[in-house]
Amino acid sequence: MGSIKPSEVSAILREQLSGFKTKSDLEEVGTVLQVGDGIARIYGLNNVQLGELIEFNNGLKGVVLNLEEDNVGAVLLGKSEGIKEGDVVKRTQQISSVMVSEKMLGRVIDALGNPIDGKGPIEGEKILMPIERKAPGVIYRQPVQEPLQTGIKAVDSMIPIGRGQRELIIGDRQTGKTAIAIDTIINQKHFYEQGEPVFCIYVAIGQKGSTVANIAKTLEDAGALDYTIIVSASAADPAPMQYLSAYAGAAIGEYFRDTGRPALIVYDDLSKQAVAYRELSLLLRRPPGREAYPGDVFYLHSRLLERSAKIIDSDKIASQMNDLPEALKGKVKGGGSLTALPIIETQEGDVSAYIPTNVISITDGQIFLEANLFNSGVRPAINVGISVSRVGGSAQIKSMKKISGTLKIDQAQFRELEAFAKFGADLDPVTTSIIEKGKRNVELLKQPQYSPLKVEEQAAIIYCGTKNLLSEVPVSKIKDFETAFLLLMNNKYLETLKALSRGELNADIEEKIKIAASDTVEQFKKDNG
Amino acid sequence: MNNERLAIRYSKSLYVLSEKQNNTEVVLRDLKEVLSIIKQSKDFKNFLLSPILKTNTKIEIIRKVLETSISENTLKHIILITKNTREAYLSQIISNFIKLYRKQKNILSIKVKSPHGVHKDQKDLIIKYLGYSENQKIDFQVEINKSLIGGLVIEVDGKQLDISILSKLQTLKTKFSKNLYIKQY
Repeated sequence: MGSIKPSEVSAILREQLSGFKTKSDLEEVGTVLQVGDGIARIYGLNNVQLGELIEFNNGLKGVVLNLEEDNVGAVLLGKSEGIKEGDVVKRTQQISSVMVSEKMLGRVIDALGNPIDGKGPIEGEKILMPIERKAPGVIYRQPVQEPLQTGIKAVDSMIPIGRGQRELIIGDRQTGKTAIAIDTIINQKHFYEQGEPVFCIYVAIGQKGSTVANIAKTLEDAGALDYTIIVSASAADPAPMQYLSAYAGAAIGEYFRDTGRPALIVYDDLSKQAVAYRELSLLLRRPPGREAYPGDVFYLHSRLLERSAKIIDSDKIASQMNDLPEALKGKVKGGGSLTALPIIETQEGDVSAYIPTNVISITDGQIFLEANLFNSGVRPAINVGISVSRVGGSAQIKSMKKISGTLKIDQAQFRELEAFAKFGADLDPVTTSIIEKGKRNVELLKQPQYSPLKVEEQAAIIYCGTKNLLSEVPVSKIKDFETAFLLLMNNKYLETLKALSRGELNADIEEKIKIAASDTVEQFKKDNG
Repeated sequence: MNNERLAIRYSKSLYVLSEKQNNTEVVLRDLKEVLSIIKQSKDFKNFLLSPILKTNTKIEIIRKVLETSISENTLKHIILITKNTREAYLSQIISNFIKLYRKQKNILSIKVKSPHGVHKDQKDLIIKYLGYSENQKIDFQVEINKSLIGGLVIEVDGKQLDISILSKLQTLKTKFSKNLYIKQY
């Protein structure tokens, strides 16, 4: 137990007693028949609904997941210690839901919306959002059209993500999956400062408590926690909490989405959520299927990711959205979005395992990270060849689209020839030039962690790569070139950068970039080096 | 051990048979007697649950214990249950029989837990509070439970009204067991 400041005592008392009921009602009850492994079987509770929260004698909550002929199967949202056979269980008449509030920003909460960061109770107006909710129908959606800037050159140029898209981040352990997600969150700071925040929700599922603490600290240090909510169901939490946390995160994201604002949600990671769901399904004696996952494991992820959407601009149509929670009625605005970045961890690069194939087919593209690339120093270790974004292209800003148009093909060609060149054969000048350009582009696309770039800076630097302006700079000097070039652009050609950020790209702008590049190249020419 | 489906089948068959033979009341009395024996004697309960004793031995013992206190028909049924090696569920079967009986005869069961017992006036007040008329047949059971400290717990028809001091204290305890000013990760 930590020490409590005297000033906090009254706040705690007020908070705890605020919900204390002195009046009692006739409540529907059941009795515990059997308890163990985080599952309870209950006799009675005849009118209980599927997904309803129930309360045990000692205040522990549970969720009803099985309604059987002669008993009710429920999962416990906490330790099963202290619950005995014959204990009374009460209905709460409330489908499992989470209280959402604007004041949650900057906080770390558990799957039920309770704060766990030791910063006291969450204040402000609270809105009850159901954890399980149907995704918006076709009429209430519109195609992805605005970009969600990740600040990562390789992603924003070749695998662009739009607001409302679901882009999978997939790779082995230790390949930088979380880093991409965290960088994306940090990159939204720019928009937050401009007064157009993209609210971020980071759902940590089955991770170490220390990892969550680290991420909270990283975001705080980067000034990104002010617009971020961390939902944590760590490895120490029971499986039902891990399973529910993703839906709780989605419910929070939906609050921002349906009130007309853009939100970004990171599920880190869905493989662990599937494992948690498998655990409780097996304990509830649902029949196992492939890899012992239950039959509805596809639906587990599809219904979750389907809740990410770009909502139609019209307030009138949006306000008629299906399955709106009672508390949200009258507050709905159009034009909001919920972008999802689900993360899947593969084993030994095996993307054909059950969960990875499922999630790949559900999402609108994937960013594939490879251990080989990571180990050879290409970071972020994105395999550009098999990474795709199915809808993000239309959301890319025009200047970036024009500039990076050929980059992906160039790189594909380079990789093919690079493999060939390894045999040491003499190469013709065209091939050599493609390989040299490719090597420089690879260097250009490298980017250190926690240092996202603005889209106009990315466009300018990638322009140098695709137009082969760097042929005279040695590969080892590309990083230094980039720093110097961006410094020059920011100091001397700020207007050009601004035009690029507006999506403009004309002969004048191209000329200015070329001049800046050639000026910088002078410093790094092979002879000088 | 709990097997609702099994208990329903045996109790229903016993009930239907007893109705045919027109001796439901007798069977009910017998079964209540057996239930009280099971509740009072730990040895008898353990004996029923024991997987080591052979069925024939069990039947013999059951006959000896119950022969004098219950009717032949009921005994036969209990022996049948034992022959089918379902004697471990006997108390559940009996509880189900009682439930079935109450349902058929339209008798309402009200169970009141209290630390001090319930007066006649209080009983009438409770029945009135629950909204039942005086004509309603009611099986009113009182269980003394000192741990409640004060107040009452009323159980009726799968519902519960808990106005005991124990539950209020427990609610307070759970409310105060969480401190939102302590980091939990």
